[in-house]
Amino acid sequence: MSGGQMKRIMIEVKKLRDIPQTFILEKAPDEDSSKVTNTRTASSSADSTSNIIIGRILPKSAPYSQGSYQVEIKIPADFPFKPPEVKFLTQIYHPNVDKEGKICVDLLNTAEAWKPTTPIVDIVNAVIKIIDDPKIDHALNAEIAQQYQNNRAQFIKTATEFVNKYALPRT
Amino acid sequence: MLNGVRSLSYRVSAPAEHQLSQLRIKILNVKLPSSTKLVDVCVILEVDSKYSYRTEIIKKKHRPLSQITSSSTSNATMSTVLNSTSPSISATSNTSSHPTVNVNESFDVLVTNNSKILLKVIAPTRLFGTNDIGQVKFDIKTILNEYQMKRHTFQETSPPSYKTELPLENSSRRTADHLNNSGTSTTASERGSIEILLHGAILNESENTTNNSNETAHIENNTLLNNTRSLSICQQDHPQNSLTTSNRQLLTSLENHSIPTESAVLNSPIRHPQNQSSSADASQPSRRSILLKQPSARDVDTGTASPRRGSGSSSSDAVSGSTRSRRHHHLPLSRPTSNTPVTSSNLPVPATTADASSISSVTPAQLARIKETLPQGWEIRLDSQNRPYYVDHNTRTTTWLRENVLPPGWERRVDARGRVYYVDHNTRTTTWTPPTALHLQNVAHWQNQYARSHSMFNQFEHRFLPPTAGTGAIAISGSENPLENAAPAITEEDIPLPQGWQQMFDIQGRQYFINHLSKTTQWEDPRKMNTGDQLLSGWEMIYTKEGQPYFVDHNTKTTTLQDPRLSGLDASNSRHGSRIPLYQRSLPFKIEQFRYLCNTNISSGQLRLTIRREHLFYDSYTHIMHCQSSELRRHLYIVFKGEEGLDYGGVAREWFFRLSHEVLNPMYCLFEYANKNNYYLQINPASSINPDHLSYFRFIGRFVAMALYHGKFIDNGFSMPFYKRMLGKKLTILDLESLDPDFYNSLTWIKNNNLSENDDLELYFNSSYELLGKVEYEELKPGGNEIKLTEENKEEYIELLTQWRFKRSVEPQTKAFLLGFNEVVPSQWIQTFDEREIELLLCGISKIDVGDWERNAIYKHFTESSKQVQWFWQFVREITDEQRSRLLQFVTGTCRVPIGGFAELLGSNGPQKFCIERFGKETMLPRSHTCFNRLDLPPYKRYDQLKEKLLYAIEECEGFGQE
Repeated sequence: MSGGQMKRIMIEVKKLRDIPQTFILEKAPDEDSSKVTNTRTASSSADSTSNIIIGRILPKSAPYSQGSYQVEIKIPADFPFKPPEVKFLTQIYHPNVDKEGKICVDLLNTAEAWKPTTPIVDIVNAVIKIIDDPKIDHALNAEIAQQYQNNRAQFIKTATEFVNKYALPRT
Repeated sequence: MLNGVRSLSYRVSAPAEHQLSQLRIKILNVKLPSSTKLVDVCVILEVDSKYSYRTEIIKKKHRPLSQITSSSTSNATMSTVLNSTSPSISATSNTSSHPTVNVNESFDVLVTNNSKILLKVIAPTRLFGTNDIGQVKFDIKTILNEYQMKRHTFQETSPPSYKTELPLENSSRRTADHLNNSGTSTTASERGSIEILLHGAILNESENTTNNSNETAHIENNTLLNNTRSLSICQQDHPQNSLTTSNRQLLTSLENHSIPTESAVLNSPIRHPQNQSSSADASQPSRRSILLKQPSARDVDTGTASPRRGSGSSSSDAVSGSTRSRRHHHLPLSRPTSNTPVTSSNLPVPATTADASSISSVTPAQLARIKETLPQGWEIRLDSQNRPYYVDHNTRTTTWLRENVLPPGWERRVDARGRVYYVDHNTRTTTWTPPTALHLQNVAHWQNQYARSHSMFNQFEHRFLPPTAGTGAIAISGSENPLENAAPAITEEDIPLPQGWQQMFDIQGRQYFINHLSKTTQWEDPRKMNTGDQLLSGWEMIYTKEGQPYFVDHNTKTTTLQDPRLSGLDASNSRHGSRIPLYQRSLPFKIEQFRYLCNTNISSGQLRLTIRREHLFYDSYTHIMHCQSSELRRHLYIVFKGEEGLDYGGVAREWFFRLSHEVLNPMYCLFEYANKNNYYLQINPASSINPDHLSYFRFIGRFVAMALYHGKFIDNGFSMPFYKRMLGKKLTILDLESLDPDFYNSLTWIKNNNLSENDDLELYFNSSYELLGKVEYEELKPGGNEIKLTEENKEEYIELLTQWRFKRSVEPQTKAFLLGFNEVVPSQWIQTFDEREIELLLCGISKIDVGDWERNAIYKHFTESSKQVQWFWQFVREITDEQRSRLLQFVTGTCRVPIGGFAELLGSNGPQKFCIERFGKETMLPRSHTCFNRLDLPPYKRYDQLKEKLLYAIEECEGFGQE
């Protein structure tokens, strides 16, 4: 990765620290590593895992508002020309999240929506918005989507069970 | 089955003067010129300068010739072979000084008495070139005369094989000097020689004609002699005859080899019972007049057998010193399924059945008639009660009934080793088993199973090229010769020639150009070849003193003021008043010009590639990389091993299809799909993981150029940016869209937005990407790490980043590909084409199923019943196949339709049906988004307006694609 990219990531990380009401940052690429990787020799051995941001999102609607959920934001080598990938590390019962934790965020998946300037904070907010307000038309998990539409009570019950079982504390 | 013994006989067809006859030429060994080091060699055999055969590359590990000679003489000969030693070469005295390479490869060739054979010995070098070592040319006639002469001289029982040693001549002075220090005055011994063995009925031609009177149903065959005791055995023509002692010995010895063949048959004529002497030495000159009947080479030779096989059981007592002539022993062949060692001498008479009793005896006249209609290898005989029965020498079986006629489309053939196989021309398959009803049923079943995967090739087989105008299309009469005094042609240019080109002048002072990489020549100046419109070959544009251009047609020696490039057009086009589309004016001409260059640079001879289907990639790679680039421009002759002789002209086509399918298969990691879900191919950056990848890319470059050169199609196509690169065109940011839409969008965003308002991008003149788990990064220009992207320098940044994006990690591969490509076809030859035309040339045009297309289309802000949509499909139905391909290319980026039809059309994000979206105003042109297979169609008011705009869009494609 280039020095410029690391600077950009640091700016993004700083912004992420500024929104404690919605996101708790847990792990960010180390700025020191950028100095090492700034040289050509080190870059060849640079580990792509060094560009992963991990943190917990804090949704606001029931039943998810009772817990926090760990997400991983993977920043690709050609960031910001390519959007980051977002994945849930905490299990969550939600129509837009599949069993592997993949989530479909318009901002990231539609090539036309992504801009090189799109802040990672926006991505986090977009993820929280989807969790709070499921998009049934773009469901990744069809069964849950069906249940969400036809049997909302049962859906809330199961979702709550998942929250109690897997969700992390909000502090 | 072994309950009786029959004498063997063969049907004979005496070769006439011009009749084709099968001759087996076995190349035994090559004695290299005395001054040459021992090298790997390859022998090329050319019949009548038309049919070329080539041995494998014979590795130089060798046994000295003396050893060979001793081993072959110590072995009992299976058959005596006349030896001819050219007087200038005393084979025995000179051998020690000659490095010798054993070849032992045979070719079955078809010759007439007038055929000429050229044997060429080459030494492939490590750098995929070859050194000529020498060659020898001889006439069949001369050989036959020589053979007849020797035969009479030695008064020997001559089997129809002839061994001779021919002195090599150096094929060119240059190589002669290079290889041979003694210069031009070399003696034959210094030049080396090649030893060959000939078999075939043609050798007996004269004798057959002289002995026609002897021809009966029972014909002697003395091809074979025993390997242990040199027996000559007589058998009476009697089915119940039991084996004689000597015959048993023969069988035993054959069983030891466990590979008996028809050739291993001893038959003395029934009229010479006195020859039934087990001690007779076959090699002893015999006075009896024996009729040689040797219908084809298959009955004789050993194929691939090596001398060692024979030596195992030989006791070497029989032959040594018996005669001075050198012998070559014929080794028995292996049978495909030989659980019972049966020689055809013991073909049983079929058991007498109820049926048989009904078979009455036949008259000689009837017999003669039946004989004529028998298939090859079949014979009719009479048993002791004069009942006819049939012998199939191919399968060594007998039957009362004649074999059923093969089903239509089937043919029986005999391979080089004498094995019978059946060719099904319907399915282009071969099998060992004779076709029975059950078999045919199985084939049908298999065909159904195979149909789906086969449909791919079928679809491929229907591809074609746009028709060229043909030379007749531009018939311009130069009735009045406008300018007698030709103005000086403007040919001089200050631009240097492209790399690898050289300007030359022929004896008459005409200028021509050499391309040293591909070793091609042409009259055209390569610097002038990349203009869009080219004059046809033979035409020249000349300016008068006043600067007015006029045109000279050197073909008809006429001149005209009218531009021939405009006159070949359909007049109706100009009547429409619209501009004549660029491509219509030139594509057929461009193709014709390209074909002209191809035809004038075709190399003589034939490039024969024998490919094993199961090693398609490897064999093709080895052969093609061992060829000199000019050899790849020879007439192609592709053979799939085991399917020899099946030349439908489609074999090469199939080879291009299968091999392109193979080498471009992303599974091999040489190429990848340009886009996650797309089927355009581009070089895979990760290919560098393969240490030989550059060699493979050079090979693929050669192969793709061969497809272009030979006018064949490849199955998969490349991405448009890749074609552009092949053409040496500059890639722009617009080309990025099909390669990497995300990247393209981001870069476009930078281009279209004011960066002063977005100062936290933190982009510098460098870039990084991930390859094989590692992040690589590069500066876009020296010191780029310190140069921050700003609004002011963003143009440069975009330009540099675009070029970097196309080149990243694939530059060495691309260069290797282009090197291989340009070795066969110089890049200047194709520069007249644009990238879409190259795709059409390489992949061909398929017939497009408009119904399927329409059924699988979707609409945005239009409905199926919208006027414009109706008109659009009307338009699609009206235009030509080529225009349809172009329209499809315009919208989807490729002229190819997925195997599953339009329902499986893919976009950059997965399945993406063909979509027509209402967009813009009627004054605008339609535009396309190849990533989304979407056509933006303005709401035109009239049909002819829609037609005009669409035609304009698809035909004036250059630089128009996306925006």
